[in-house]
Amino acid sequence: MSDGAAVTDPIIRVRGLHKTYRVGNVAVEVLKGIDLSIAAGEFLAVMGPSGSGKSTLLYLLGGMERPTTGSVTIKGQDVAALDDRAASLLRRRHVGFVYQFYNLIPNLNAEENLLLPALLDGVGLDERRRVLDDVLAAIGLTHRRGHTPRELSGGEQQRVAIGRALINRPDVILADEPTGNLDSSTGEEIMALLARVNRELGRTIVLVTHAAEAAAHAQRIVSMRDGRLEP
Amino acid sequence: MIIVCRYFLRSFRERKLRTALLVLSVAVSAALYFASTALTTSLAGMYADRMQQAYGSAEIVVERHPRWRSAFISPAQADGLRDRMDYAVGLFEGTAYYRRRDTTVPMSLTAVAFEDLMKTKRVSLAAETRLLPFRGRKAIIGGHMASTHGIAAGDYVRLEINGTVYRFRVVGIAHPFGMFIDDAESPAVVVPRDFMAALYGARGQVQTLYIKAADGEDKRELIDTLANVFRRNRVRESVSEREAREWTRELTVPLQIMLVLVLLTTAFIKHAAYQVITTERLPVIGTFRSIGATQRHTSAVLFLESALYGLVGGAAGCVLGIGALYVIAGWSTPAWLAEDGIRIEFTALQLASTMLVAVTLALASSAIPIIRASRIPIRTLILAEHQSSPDRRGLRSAVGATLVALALVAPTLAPTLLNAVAGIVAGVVGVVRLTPLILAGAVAALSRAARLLPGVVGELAATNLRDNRHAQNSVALLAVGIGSMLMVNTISSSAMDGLSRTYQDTRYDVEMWTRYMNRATVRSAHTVDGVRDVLGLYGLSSVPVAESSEDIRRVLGVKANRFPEFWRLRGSDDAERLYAQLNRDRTIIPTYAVQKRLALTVGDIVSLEMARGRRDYRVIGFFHSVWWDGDYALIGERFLKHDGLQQWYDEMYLKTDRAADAVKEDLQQRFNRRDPWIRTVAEMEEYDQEASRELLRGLQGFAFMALAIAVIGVVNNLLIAFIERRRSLALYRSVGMEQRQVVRMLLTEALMSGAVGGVIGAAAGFLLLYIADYVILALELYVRIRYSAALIAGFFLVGVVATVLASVSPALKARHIDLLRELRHE
Repeated sequence: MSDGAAVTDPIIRVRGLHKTYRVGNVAVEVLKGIDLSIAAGEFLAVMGPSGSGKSTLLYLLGGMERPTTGSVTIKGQDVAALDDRAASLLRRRHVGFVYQFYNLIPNLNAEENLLLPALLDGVGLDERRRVLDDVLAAIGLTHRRGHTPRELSGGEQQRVAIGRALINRPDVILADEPTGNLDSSTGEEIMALLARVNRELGRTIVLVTHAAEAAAHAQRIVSMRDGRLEP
Repeated sequence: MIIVCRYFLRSFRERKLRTALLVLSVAVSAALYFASTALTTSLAGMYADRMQQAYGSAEIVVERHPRWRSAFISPAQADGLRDRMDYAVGLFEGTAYYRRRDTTVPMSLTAVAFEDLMKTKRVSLAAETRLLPFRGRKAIIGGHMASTHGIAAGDYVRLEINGTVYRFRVVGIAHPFGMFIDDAESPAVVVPRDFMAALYGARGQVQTLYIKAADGEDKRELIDTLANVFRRNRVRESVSEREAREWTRELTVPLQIMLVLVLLTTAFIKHAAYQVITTERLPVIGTFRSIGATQRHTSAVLFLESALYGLVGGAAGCVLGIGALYVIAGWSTPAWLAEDGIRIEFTALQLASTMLVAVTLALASSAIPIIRASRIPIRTLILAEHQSSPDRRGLRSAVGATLVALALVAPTLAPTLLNAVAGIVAGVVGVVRLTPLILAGAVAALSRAARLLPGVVGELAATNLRDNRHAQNSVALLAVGIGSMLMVNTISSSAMDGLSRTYQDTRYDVEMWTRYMNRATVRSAHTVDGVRDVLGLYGLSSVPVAESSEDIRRVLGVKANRFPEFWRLRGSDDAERLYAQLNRDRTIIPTYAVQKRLALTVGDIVSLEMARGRRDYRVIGFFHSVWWDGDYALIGERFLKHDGLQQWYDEMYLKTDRAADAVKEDLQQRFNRRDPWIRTVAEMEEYDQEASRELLRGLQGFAFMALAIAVIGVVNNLLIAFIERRRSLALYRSVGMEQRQVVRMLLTEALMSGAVGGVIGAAAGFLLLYIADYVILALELYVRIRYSAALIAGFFLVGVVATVLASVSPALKARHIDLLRELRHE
């Protein structure tokens, strides 16, 4: 097990994490006891083959799933114990997500997609505009702010998704195969952007990937197989 | 191909709710189509039966012409036409009074030869004694009359005819059939023709001649020949198919117009659903095409699937339609026609045509999405690179605006039913086409307004409605549904309101008619306790307008110094001057309905065919009235008397200074022997309102169906939208939106789209009402449209509430979206 025993003051702490799904009458155990600590400002890559449970782990970290047993704490808050409102607040303020398929709202333009978490957080109009300009500059899409997702390339859409993850200045960014749907050079650009976010903005990044090139940008790599972290 | 079909059949099972909604919308349309076509047959059948009971099997009637003084007809004139006639039966008609101690019962009297009575099949006897020979003082009465007064066959009864009491022997008791059908309400008595002929001194003559053509095909020609033979009489069909059709038209045309709206709504629902279905199926179509299915194969299967909706919906529609027919026939049939029971009639052809309409509706409404899908290149399908067509809002809006303009213009070109229906179709399609533009404007305004409110849900909801195809469809459906409801209900309330207003114009309490009314009758009525004032009026019915096929249903002769005391002329500023002119010159004041129909302006000359020949009347003004369906005009009393050769009053208005009902009773007593017709104004108003309610109830049923289908469409849209938006909603949740915020956002979206739908619906309602004004004109009905703020507000609220309620289920489902599943997979 590659526990973060060496990690001092972890921002994320996972203890004895199990997750079982029921498919009809069959119980499928996806995670079989994960222990993991991630330090603030760390860039961690979780690698593993398809079906190893790495994405499930990511969604549990983000409070979008509840563990069957075990616990996940982010900044000392037990994610599993949070009610819907508190879990939503956690996702809104402390966690940003980046997905393989971008998951942008199709009828909102780039600027509106970016601003969505800020809007939900009740950030005022002036503040939103200021933050928006900063983020658009950071992801290099100032000139594409008024375009809808269907008018953007895959790489541009992923940049918008990263921008959206950054807009509320979260502590943690969770990225699920962010280059999985992109060609290699665009994928490389996206990874470089994430690395810069980690380095310059000090955000903790947890990256799930099966691509070694992407994982190479991380400071630490852990591997998963059959629902367990490999030693 | 079988595999492909099996795939689509499986998809029916998987999308049970959507399939059910689509089948239901087609079924309801088919049901209404069936009901409206079969209703025409049923009502016409009931009408014909009723008339048949009055006229028997006779097809042609020769009767006294109002223009000629001669009261009797000589059947011998038609002797030369015997070979073209199955029979020609002559009779006398009048009133007899059954008298027994203090009891007097007025009875409708028919004097006819017995063999002639049998020929016309108007009597069926339950009991008889010494019936033949049917001569002298013999009588046949109805079973109800016999049992009520304890009369048996063979008994003697006293009947007063023309002021003299005669003793008749009852030789037959008749079943309640034919001329005895209304025995309970209006007793009848049949006496030998020779008795009445002797009484009138009209041996060899009759009052009315009933004829049956030997060859049905020859009927029209025979009528023309008879008209030449009986030049001084009126020759007409006994039960005119045209009359029956025209009469049923008042009921069926409004229903058919509502049907057009319902069919359009259903076509729109199905079209919208098929846009989603074909988009959903594109990957599968791509797969099938890649393994060898041709464009034609996949399109054929999609069309087959669509036809299945039509077939299943059509079959369900036929069943539903039979039920609807009972209900609508019950609502729409006037009480006098429903006395013999509500009967529904339909043919196999009508059932088949319903199936055809359902399948055609299903195929036509899905054709455009299917054809578009078939044109997508196979590579685009397989690589999932297809993007829906670029926004063509500008073009759509231009088409919409043009169609609305057409809708406004078409009915004005000529107030025909066809133009009005074309206007309705253009108006509805135009409103649907303009909806995206209006919604976009409304969303921009709502977005700005929502920013001023606390919380983020309103702003997000407004943003989500922008360029949202489902929202556009929902709003358009609501607009059509609300527009239809608003139109029908405004017409209904306007009709009722018009009636009330007309009755408010009366300044008398009781109306009376009896035979041979003259000044003596007026004086006699004046002496009845409680009668304060009496006015006798001369009147003519169905006065032909010269050199046209038009006539004016009622022309009343009024005396300028007395009429205003009994009637308020509404819609004219200068009634006093107009009345004075009526007295002075040959002038006429028609209603506004007649003005519209005959396209009259003040100063025009209306030539009327009067008893003394053609007379020209100058139009001096118009007034509002819904009596006689608004088909009504006033001329000076002295001109009507002179030109129309009128010697008897035709109506009598009475003012009372005690309860009108009690005065009516006393009048009834006073004039009992003269078979009077007496009604209080309150009774007449109640009767007219009930008659209008009967017609309008049927219409409202249809309009409600239009709204119900629209709501089904909105539910369908919201469900499809929810399925399509699951990922977006999951995403909202993933970036920190709370469950309750998701629910509030979806409900706010529904609230906003309901409100916009309500506003567009109100506008569509105004447009449809504008066109409906021309439909009313084409039907020669007269209803002044009165816009009601309460109705508009009511239907606006109905739209909002229906949309919000329809969105509750998707909103609650959205709370429990599986984020992992929605966000992880493409």
